[in-house]
Amino acid sequence: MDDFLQYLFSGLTRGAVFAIVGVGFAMIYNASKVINFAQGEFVMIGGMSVVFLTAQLGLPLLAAIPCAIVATAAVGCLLQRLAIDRVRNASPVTLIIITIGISILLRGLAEIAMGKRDYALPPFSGESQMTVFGASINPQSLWVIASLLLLMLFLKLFFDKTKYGKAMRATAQNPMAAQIVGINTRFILLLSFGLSAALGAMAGILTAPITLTRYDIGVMLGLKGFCAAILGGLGNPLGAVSGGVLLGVLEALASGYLSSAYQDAVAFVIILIVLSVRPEGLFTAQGAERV
Amino acid sequence: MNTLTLSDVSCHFGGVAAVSGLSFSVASGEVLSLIGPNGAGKTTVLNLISGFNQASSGTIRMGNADITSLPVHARAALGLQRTFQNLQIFFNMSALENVMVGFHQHQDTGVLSSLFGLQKIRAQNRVAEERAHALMEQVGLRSWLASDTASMPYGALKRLEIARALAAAPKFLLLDEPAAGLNPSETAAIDELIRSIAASGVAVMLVEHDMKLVMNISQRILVLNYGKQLATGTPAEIRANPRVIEAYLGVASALREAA
Amino acid sequence: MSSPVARKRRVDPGLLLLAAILLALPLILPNRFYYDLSVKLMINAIVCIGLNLLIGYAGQISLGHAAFFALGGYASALLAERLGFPSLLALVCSAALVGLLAYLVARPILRLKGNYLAMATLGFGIIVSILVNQELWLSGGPDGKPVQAFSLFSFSISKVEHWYFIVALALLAAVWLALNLINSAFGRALRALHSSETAAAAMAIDIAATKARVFVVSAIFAAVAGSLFAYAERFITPGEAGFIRSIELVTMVVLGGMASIYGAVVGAGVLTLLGQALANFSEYKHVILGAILVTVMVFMPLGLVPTLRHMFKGAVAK
Repeated sequence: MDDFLQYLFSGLTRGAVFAIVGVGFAMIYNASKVINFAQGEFVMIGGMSVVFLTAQLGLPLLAAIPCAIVATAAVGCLLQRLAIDRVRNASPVTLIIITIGISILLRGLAEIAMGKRDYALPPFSGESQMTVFGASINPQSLWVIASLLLLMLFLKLFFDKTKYGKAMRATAQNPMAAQIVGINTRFILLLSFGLSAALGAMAGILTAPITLTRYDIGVMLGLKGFCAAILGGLGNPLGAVSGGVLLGVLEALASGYLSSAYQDAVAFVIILIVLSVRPEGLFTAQGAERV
Repeated sequence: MNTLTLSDVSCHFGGVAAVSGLSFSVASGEVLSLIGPNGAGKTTVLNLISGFNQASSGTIRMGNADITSLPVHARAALGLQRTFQNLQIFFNMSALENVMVGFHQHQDTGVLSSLFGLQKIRAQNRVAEERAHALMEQVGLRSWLASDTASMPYGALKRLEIARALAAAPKFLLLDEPAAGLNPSETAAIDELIRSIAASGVAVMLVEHDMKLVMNISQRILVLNYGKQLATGTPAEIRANPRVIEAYLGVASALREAA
Repeated sequence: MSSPVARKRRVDPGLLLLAAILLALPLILPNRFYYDLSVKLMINAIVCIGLNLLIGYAGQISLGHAAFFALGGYASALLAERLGFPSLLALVCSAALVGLLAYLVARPILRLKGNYLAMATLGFGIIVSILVNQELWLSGGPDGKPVQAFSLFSFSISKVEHWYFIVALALLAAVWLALNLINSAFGRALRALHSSETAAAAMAIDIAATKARVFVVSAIFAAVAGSLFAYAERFITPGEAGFIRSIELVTMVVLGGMASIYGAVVGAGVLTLLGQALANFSEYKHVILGAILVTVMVFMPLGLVPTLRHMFKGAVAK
């Protein structure tokens, strides 16, 4: 039972990260129907930026974090404006290939700037493990999970109560109608990318103390965040949260009880199964087009 | 005798009945027009017959075959062809190639024989090209024989779709607003074309808004309103039917007509 | 974006030109290294020709095609090594096995479209890549697997100069097969379903079956190429199944030209040579690959060969 709790906690932690990345995917998809393969790189840029700012520029952690988030958001906006915007009406295949290209480009730039090695970030509140119900927990995990909960609250308020949140929902539902009622959809697109990038950066910064960061952590994280989004139903940001947590727990259980080598495969097997059986996700109502 | 028969066909989307209790038939050589106010369900009927919508009850037969649960391509293989309201031309191919696709069901499309470029495939290509030429001439597209679809005007593309459908040598042809967007001389050309198609033994069903064309060309007309059959009859009968007039123009008109 | 109808001539002039180039090339290749590079280039071209049928002509996508390439190579190696298959038989059987796998995967996956299809093929590719990395007893693990030399009638073919000619022949065969396929009713059906699945179905084209068939064909092209690679290089590694490899293949197709057989060859050529040129600057490899992908898709979405062809046509028309 101790083992199970251990796996559960580590799964929840990983899942929280996937959830945050997944929400970013879902937001961009909602606004632009683009699957942003570069989402994982936002995670990488977040973590790596903090490393750069603290190690190379000597900034204190508390200052580096918001700077990194803003910087990543800027990258996201730049991406949208320079690349995605120009090919708004291209086929899904073209858009996918472009975002893949962008993710490879960003990864390549990080490789040039900071090499291939691992970088560590200090945990936010100390290293000593805590024991809860017989399982030992890394305090950083609590930061991650707490951040996820705060994020969920923020998103709920954002989408339900704020002008921009409602505008994003409207644009997702029907871009033309949104334009007609005066919503600046181009700005909303920009905002979605910026916000998703910021979310990705958050995930990267939160998790770097646990998993270390490197130029290519974005690849797998991005793909698993995508899995989270698919599980939750691509258009459903809050569904992505459930999807991410579910994926994290399943991965941890598979790794613990089966084999850690196939841990990564879990996400992709899930993707294949969900896409074959219920592409609209586990947490949305029926109605997604398939054929 | 090839007859397309619908028996008590209904189609529901969620709780809404798009079409209900439809029963009619079209015989070979006949032209049946389907008319009705906007939203009456006319395109749904064509979609039901061609298989793009599934009937929730009732049966559809082509000749002896019950096609009610067959997929689109299977119905086409049995001799059903259609044109589309929103042009579905293959814009990545030339005009001639579009028509050649129409021959698909009558050709060897095996992967192995195609990969190895067997003599049979080459001969097939030649024959298809020649027949496509002839068909394009038949529908009046002689000046577009060597054209790319991107450079063709709307009216020509509509006729191209018909040529493509004819290439399949259909027994049943559904035309979805063939005259939409055409000027009077183009419409007259379509009129003649449809007559010649029917004369060759094809059962033709037409959805149209151009009443002049409909009245001229149809042996029978079926009027649809709110997904239900309002009236069926010859053009003269339909023209005089007060319920039809009411459905199109409102009760006041009907009273004025009757008075 | 149309292509000429059934050619009146018996042999495509492009094929003759390619044959001439491939025959003449050895005259200027200075040493074994360049022969090896040419072999790799031609093998990439074979995969890309098959992949182009799927992506360019049929309008589908596969982000996991390297899986078929690697599986072809591993299967050949294993059939020869573990079951004592003669090399040629191993090659044919491995192609058949990979084709079968592709068929099993095709039906459920190809019901998906666009984004979903991309992700499903991606998932498939990565799962295969993980399997190949993990299953040491089968694949030799991350370090890779040595491959026995190809032998035919007790002649062992292991000189790279000999492989040059074998692979060149295979490439010419691949081009010939693809040209035939495109110039047939099946080929037109592919392009039709790319343009409008609605109308294609109405023309009695069985969309699902057609997609599955072209997917299997493209997988077999990749598998044969993979086998040739394994025999020529005498080695195969799990990296050949990886995500980056799959993306490289897609980049080659996209760069060279969608719906263009010679485009696929050009794309493979350019990127293989570029990869080699950057070998000493390996940390720039990613940046350049990514930059190429983005700029080509944004500014030249049709790819090199079709875009050049249009420009040429436009210039001639003036």
